[in-house]
This record gives sequence, structure tokens and C-alpha cells, in this order.
Amino acid sequence: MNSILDQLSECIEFGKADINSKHPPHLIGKEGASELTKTALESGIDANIILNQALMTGMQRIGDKFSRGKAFIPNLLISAKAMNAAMKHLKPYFDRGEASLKGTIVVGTVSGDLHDIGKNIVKMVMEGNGWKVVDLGVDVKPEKFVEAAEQNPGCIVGLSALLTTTMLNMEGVVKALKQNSDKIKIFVGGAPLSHEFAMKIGAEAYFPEPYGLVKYLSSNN
Amino acid sequence: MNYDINIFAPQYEELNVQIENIIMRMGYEYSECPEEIISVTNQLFRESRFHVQLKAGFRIIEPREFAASKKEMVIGDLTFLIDRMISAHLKKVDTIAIFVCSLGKEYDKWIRSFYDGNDGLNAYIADIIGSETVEAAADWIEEYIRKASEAEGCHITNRLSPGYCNWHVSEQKKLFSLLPESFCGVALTESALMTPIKSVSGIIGIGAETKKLDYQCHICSIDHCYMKRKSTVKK
Repeated sequence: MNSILDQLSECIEFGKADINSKHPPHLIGKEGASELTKTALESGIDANIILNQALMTGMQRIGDKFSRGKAFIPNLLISAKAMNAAMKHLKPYFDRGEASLKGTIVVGTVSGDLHDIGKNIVKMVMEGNGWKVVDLGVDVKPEKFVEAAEQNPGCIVGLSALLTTTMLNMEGVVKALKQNSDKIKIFVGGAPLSHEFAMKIGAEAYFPEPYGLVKYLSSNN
Repeated sequence: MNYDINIFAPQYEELNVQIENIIMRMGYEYSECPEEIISVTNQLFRESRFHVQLKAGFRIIEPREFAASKKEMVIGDLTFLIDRMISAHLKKVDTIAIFVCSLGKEYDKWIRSFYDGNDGLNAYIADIIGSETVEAAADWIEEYIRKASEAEGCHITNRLSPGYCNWHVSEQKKLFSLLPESFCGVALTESALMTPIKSVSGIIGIGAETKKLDYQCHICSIDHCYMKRKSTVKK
């Protein structure tokens, strides 16, 4: 029989939030991420081990499938739902400092743009990969990004835009953030963007999908 | 040809929204989509119609006010910057219809309610259903314009929209200046974004010699475009 951590990884990968979840078919009627996390904690497994060796393993697996075109955004969102179900049990450990998240990312859609779907997907994927996410919403002015960065020392920032008109507003945000702290790392995403554009405005990098950012941060932190 | 402003409120049932297309927009082949996604999509699809307040409308420009070249399209005293991807369609048109379709504000609120409830999956699927529905509304208005044009012995082009086919989205402001304010309930932000979000605008060429060309997806650099994905799937 698989260890509880293996079972937990599988629940995250396939998006089995709890015993009542009707997905995936091969886990119907079995305990989900919520019950298994609770059991794992009760049996004395460290919260950090649950996070790093079970939950994030599951998220990495679904992320790899997504990168290979074998899974799509709804799969990510189902996995994120299962991840959230597990994280509810881990939250007290994080709050008490007995377990730690990877860091904080401030995300927002830049001013003039009301599209939030891409930004919300990034938010869910980052949360699922052990990051605290500060979501500033849509139509966010540069000063609000600066304020959030000041309130979250050491954070990274993710900017989103869907229009060729609004992506130009990213440059002002990057400038304002860098003026405030020249070491801050800013990442950009959105359909009309490119690596060249990211470099031109002084961002750290551009990623066409959220797992590119997750992988980049894993290998650069 | 009728050069008046035309506004309609089509019944939802008149749109031909297909669940298979919604699933495809999410990236799946229908047969490979997880059962849970199909189930949630079906449920939201059934519910979505109650949040749609459909409006669709168009205005046909008088031919004497219209001209198009390889780099420009002129309507009255307005000049639109286009390139070969648009001009190829407009080669043999006598005029254009400017059209707008929208699902209305309530649909945006419905999507927002899922985000507020921290239900990212439902929010995403509701968003995709909205995109497919508003495209179906654009199909509806295109069909209306086609029939009206054919009754006058004319043919039409495909739909062409600012933000696609190398036509800069900021040109949308000029297009909307040719329509009554808040046409079909749609307004533009400073950045030329339409609100409600689930809205579509664009032009359709009309002419006695007009031929409907395929979209020039093979020379377009916009990889995220739905039409490009559609044309790739067809192959």
C-alpha cells in the first residue's frame, strides 16, 4: 500500500479534495487531501514534510503534465482546490511559525486592464506551490504595487496584462518598484507579452504559463 | 442597403452555443476531457443563459464614405491603420458594417461571484462559456448581415476586430466613435478595453464582388488567438 504521503500526492495531482469529491474516478469513495492531511498531522508527520514531500510533489506532477500539454487549466484548478483543502489543516502550523512558506508574491493586473483570469490562475498555482500570494486585483496603479512591496519585504512581484495597450503600463510599474528597491524581482505575464518586451521594460522574466515561473523560482532560489 | 443604426436583443436560444466548443476552448478534445470538468461545464452552461442580457447591433457605412488601401482604411474623416492581414479581406469590398455584441453586465458579475467565493474553477469555466457565447452572438449578427447583404446582391467578408490580425486594439476608439454612445451597452476604457468584458466588436466587409477569405492565421504572430487555435485544430 502506498504511504500516506504518496496517497496525498496522488490526491493533489488528480484533484481529490476530500472523500466526497467525485473526481478522479479511480479515487471515488476514498479519502481525499483534506482527510489524509489531517491523518498525517495526527500521526506526527511534520507539516513541512507534508507540504514539501506530498503536496508540492502532487502540484509538480500536474504542473509537468500541463507543461507537456497533457493537462489544461481546469486540471490545475482542481489540483489547486485539493491543495487548498489540505492547506487549511496546515495553516495553524504556518501561523505559529512551525512550518514556512517559500516566500511572498504580490500579483496584480496593471492599470487600465480589467482582465483577471490569467492573474488568478497564477495566484492559485503559486499558492499551490507553497507561496503566500498578496492579490491586488485588477486595474492596479503603480503606487499600489509599491505600497504592497513595502508591506511585504523580500517579496517578488507578478504583473499581468491582456491588451497591447495596457501592457505598456507595466513599464511604469517596474520603474516605480525599482526606484523603491532596486533588488526587487518583477515577473510579467499575459497573452500579448514576450521575453523581449520583459527585458525592454526591465522585468526579471516573462513566462507564458505559470509553471514557467514556478520552475524558475525553484531553480533560482 | 439600410444605413440606420440597428440594435437587436436576440433570444439565447437563437445562438448556437455548443458545449463541445466550450470544452475545446479549455484545451481539451471532448473525448479526453475529465468527467468532472464536463459535469461542471454542463451545469454552468445550463445556468449561464440566466445571466446573459444579450444585445447585438450594427451600422453599415455609406459606400461613398469608405475607402481601403493596403495600409489604411478610411471612414469619413477617420483613418484606420491596418496591414495586409486586414487589407487582404477588404480588397473588393464596397463598404463595411461595424458591429458590436455583448452579454451585458450581469454576466461579468456572475463570473466575479465565483472569484469572490474563492471558486477559481467555476470562475474559469464561466469565463470560457461567456467567451464562447459572445462569439456565438457575433456569429448571429454576422449571419444577419450576410442575409441582409445577399438580399441586395452583395457578399460579406469574415469578421475583423481591433486587437486581432495585426490591427491595434487602440483603433477600437475610432470604431466606437462611429456608433452611438454606449452602443449595445458597451463602453470603452481609456485603454480601449470593452466593458462589459464579454463583448465583441469589429467590422464586416460588404460588396457585390466581395469574397470571403480565410483568416490569415499562418502569417499572424498572435499565438493565443482563438481563431488561430481553431484553424490549427482543423488541420
